[in-house]
Amino acid sequence: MPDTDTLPDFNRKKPFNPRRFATRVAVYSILIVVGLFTIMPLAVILLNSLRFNADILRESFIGWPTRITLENWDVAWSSACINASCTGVKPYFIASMLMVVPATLISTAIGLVNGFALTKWKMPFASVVFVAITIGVFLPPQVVLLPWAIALSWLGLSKSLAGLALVHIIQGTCFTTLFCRNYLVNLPDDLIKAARIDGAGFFRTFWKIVVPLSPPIIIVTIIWQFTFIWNEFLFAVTFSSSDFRPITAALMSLNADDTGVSEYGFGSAAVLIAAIPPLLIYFFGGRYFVRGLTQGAVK
Amino acid sequence: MARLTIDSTWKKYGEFLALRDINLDIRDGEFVVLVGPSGCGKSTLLSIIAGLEETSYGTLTLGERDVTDLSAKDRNIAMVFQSYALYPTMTVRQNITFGMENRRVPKDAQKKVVADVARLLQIEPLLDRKPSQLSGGQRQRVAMGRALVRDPQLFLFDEPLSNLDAKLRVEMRTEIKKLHKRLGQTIVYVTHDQIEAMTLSDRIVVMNGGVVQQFADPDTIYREPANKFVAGFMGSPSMNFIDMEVEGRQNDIRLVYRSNGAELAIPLGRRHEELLPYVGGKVTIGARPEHFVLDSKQDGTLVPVSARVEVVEPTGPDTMLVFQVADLSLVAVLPANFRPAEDEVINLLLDLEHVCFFDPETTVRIPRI
Repeated sequence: MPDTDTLPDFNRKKPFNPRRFATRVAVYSILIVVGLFTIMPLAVILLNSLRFNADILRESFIGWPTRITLENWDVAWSSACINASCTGVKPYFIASMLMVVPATLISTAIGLVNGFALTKWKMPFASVVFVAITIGVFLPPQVVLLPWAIALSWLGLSKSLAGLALVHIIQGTCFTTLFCRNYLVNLPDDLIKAARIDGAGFFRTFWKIVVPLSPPIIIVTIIWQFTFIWNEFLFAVTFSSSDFRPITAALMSLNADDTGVSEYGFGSAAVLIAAIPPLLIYFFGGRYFVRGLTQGAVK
Repeated sequence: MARLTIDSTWKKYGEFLALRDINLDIRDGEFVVLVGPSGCGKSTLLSIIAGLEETSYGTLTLGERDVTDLSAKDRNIAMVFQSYALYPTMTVRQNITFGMENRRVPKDAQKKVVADVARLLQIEPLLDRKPSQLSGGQRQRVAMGRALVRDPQLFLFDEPLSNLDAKLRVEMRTEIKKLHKRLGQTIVYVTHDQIEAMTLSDRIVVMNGGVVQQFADPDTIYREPANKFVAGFMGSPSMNFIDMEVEGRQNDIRLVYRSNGAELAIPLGRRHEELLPYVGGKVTIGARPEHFVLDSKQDGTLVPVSARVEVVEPTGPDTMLVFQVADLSLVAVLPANFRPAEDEVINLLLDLEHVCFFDPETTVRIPRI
């Protein structure tokens, strides 16, 4: 019998290796510099949102606040003027929410059903359909602007919340289908066969077997869709009007002030307000995002 | 319970013929094992019986019903999958009742059936666990439970034991056999493991290249294989095959193997007169490893073979011997206490009573007279 009661010295130190040390220093230096560059725009905007506009104009755009104020946030939210209506970004924020949330949920749901049908149900020409859908992923959005404008006017949805939501649902379905299909293709076929033998049809199998196994990809898809649709600018500008304008389109007009004075202070705050929802989504969902993207098989 | 008839069934995938003219008549209560190498079509055939795949041609009859065009759920069959295919997000209980819920079986009836099956398979303590919290053997039981609650006309098993470790596999094998004895259900069971096939089945279907090679009881399959493929596939270690020339005349037939000056001659004398038509030509002799023995019996069917020992592999209960005769490498299974040295020349006896002969052209076994 080997002697397993006396423990060996587990704390042996590796000998110092100057080359390895130098490499480490170099790698970390580069990472720190790149990291600073990445964080800088956000830091500048965040600091500026806390400075008085007069200070920004007098001192410099990039600078440490000498006096701190929260007034910018209040103005940006409720009283800043956009296209001569001084309501702040609040109504646009709400408009964006009302458009983005349904568009995200509906496109995710359609994507999941599509993914299931394309991978686990005998569907004629599944691969052709899949290729056709994924072409949408690579199509430049400018190409579809005019067709969409025509289609929306046919439907009587020009420059409306529902119209823009519809555009995002259909454009987004290309992405969500791609994601969900690639996730569900790894679902064991035997599960679906077992469900068929157990007498479950398409939607029953979908609800009872597929959906409970899909939270990782549902979260990924929701994060992706929410962020993309919230931040999207081209469609938002094109298919909106004074009655309905998403926040990204509204921000553009924020500085177009009669006085001609650049309002960096509440401008920064407004930008940050617009960035809060995607940031929160990333903050709470980021873990799942990485996990869902890397996780292939269902264990 | 029901009998299953598969009538001239073909399956085509594009241009590939996965199954060719399958004709099987499986009796009520029979345990039939489909066996063959990977890609032989055995799993395709099972899927077709299950209704998960459609036939390209042919008809299936289960009991009195033509089920050829019925979907899986309407065939009244149950299936146990190799991967168990337990629904990972449901508890064991929900896994078992899922099918009954789909068929809208009343809750009270469900409860009773679950309790019965859980008792039968001894999975009562596991009912509220998730599949991920179960061991391989427990998952296997649950998968069988899910099949049993259906009280189907036909059970299908798709390599159900191949994900288990060796010890558990033997235990579960015995349990499946006991269960079959007790319930008397008709079972079609797919495996690539010929020991499972031999031990479990009432009858075995040996398949290769989408064609049924032989459909018979285990003893017949083992002793009177229909052709060289069946002979080589069933049995471990495999049967030894030697292509030999047939010489002599009636009452004095000899088999001779010659190569580079080395020679192996087997005098048959009056035995195996069925080889007479092959005199002047060749036959393939098939000798199982246990057809080589050490002690001479008195019945006079043994012929001596001078063998040079190549490798000695003690397996515990037996000694496996790889030896050379002429320039051929053959395998014998001998008693455990027999441990010759390597390169030693020994005398083995070949039992002519049990050897098989195959037509070298058609590979079909030449029946004894």
